[in-house]
Amino acid sequence: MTDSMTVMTNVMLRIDPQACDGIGMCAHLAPDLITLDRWGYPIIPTRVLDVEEVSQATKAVKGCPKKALHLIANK
Amino acid sequence: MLVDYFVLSAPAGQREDYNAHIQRNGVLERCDRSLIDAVAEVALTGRGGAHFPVARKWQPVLQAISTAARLTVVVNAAEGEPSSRKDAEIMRRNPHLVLDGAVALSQSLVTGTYAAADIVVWLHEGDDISLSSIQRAIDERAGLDEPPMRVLLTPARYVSGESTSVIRAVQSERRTGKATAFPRFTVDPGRPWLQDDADGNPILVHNCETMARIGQIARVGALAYRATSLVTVTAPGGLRVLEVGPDTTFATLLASLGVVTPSAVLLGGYGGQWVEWLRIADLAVDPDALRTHGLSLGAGIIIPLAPEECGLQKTAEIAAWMAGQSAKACGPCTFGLPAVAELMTKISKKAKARDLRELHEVCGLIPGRGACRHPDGTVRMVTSALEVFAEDLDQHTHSRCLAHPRKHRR
Ligand code: SF4
Ligand code: SF4
Repeated sequence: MTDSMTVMTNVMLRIDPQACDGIGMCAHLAPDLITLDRWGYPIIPTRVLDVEEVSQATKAVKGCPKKALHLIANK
Repeated sequence: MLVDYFVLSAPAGQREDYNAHIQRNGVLERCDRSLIDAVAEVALTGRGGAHFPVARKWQPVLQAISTAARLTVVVNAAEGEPSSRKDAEIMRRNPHLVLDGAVALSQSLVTGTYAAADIVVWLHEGDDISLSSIQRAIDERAGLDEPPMRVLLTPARYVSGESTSVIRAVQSERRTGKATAFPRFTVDPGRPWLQDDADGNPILVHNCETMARIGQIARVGALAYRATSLVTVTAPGGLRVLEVGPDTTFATLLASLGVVTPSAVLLGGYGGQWVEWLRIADLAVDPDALRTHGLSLGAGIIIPLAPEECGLQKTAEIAAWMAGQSAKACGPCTFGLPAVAELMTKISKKAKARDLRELHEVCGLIPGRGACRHPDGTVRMVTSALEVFAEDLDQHTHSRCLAHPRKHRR
């Protein structure tokens, strides 16, 4: 088992832009992290997430109907 | 042995077959890891546009190869942009140097008993002369102890030359036996040249010219290798491909082609950047020299602005072409590029402050948000035009134009 604390403190959001439908579900699920551009596509923070942001990010990842969002470990 | 410095050693319009190739260069010796050091020593950079240090690309491959079953080395000869022809010239005139590079590279990376290698040449559909030249070259080498080679064709589209597209197509071909243009895989943007597929097998992509240079280094060694530059210049009579030494300046290059001194050049092609002529005229046509001035030769594409052309209008036309080339898979590219093109077209007619503000805003929304770098290059080209043609932009706010001072525009 990986230590979940270490994983959670060093993660980033990543989007697969080819999979995203631009309907914007993620912005409702993670309003503090994700905004939508003028065409309705999400603008994803490119930095490492703060610990308290991770739960919101996880909601967006789980709720994305296209599975276009991923939480990845910062390498 | 006659050491030939040039990548394009066969005269224009002629193809060097295998016999002529080995008569001139000798048989290619089997390569080992020392090739990696030699390539690092001459500081070879990728000639597909990004100019990433080639030897550094191989480090992750060397790590992966110890456990992998197969390495695929890909020659990327899909030159999508209409203003580029250097790779086609190499494919047509000196195909064996390209294959030498791929063979030498496979041999130096794959040592011991772990992995085997195969070689793929990635080419546009419709480039029949290059196709027949490389296919003949593969046939001519049939009896040699070299990795198996094959050609994969891609539908003629600008972005299919992106290394991410190449990797995806090769992966899909491995799985399904057929190369689809844009199968969906997540590519790690930090390492776009190497993608372990489901089996963990690395795929290494190099531009055609880069591969030919690797072949050159494998043959002559680091000491005798000379860094030339292959460029495609848009000249009055059409595209001209030249190979120049690092002492050639932009001024001498254009003069030798009879190009009238332009006010600016588009350096690096449609996804490159506009540069004022006075800034670049006396600089060497050399990637390293340009880098010290914060410029990039890209894939060696040089488009001088013709005296009768308006830089802003030309930028608008290129932006529209680039928008049309988007594979329309990613939102910011699908919607962003047409918006950029439309605003740029408006501005090239009459530069309204509102449209300019909007253009800057839209350009800020696009970079880094597509699956490939196509949209980023387009935005770079457009924003450089706004800087380089600032004076003309000012004229355009009054519906005037420096290129057409008399013609009153709408
Ligand atoms: S929820 Fe998923 S598919 Fe929908 S806009 Fe967000 S990332 Fe795109
Ligand atoms: S960024 Fe544009 S060109 Fe590149 S894959 Fe996405 S839609 Fe296609």
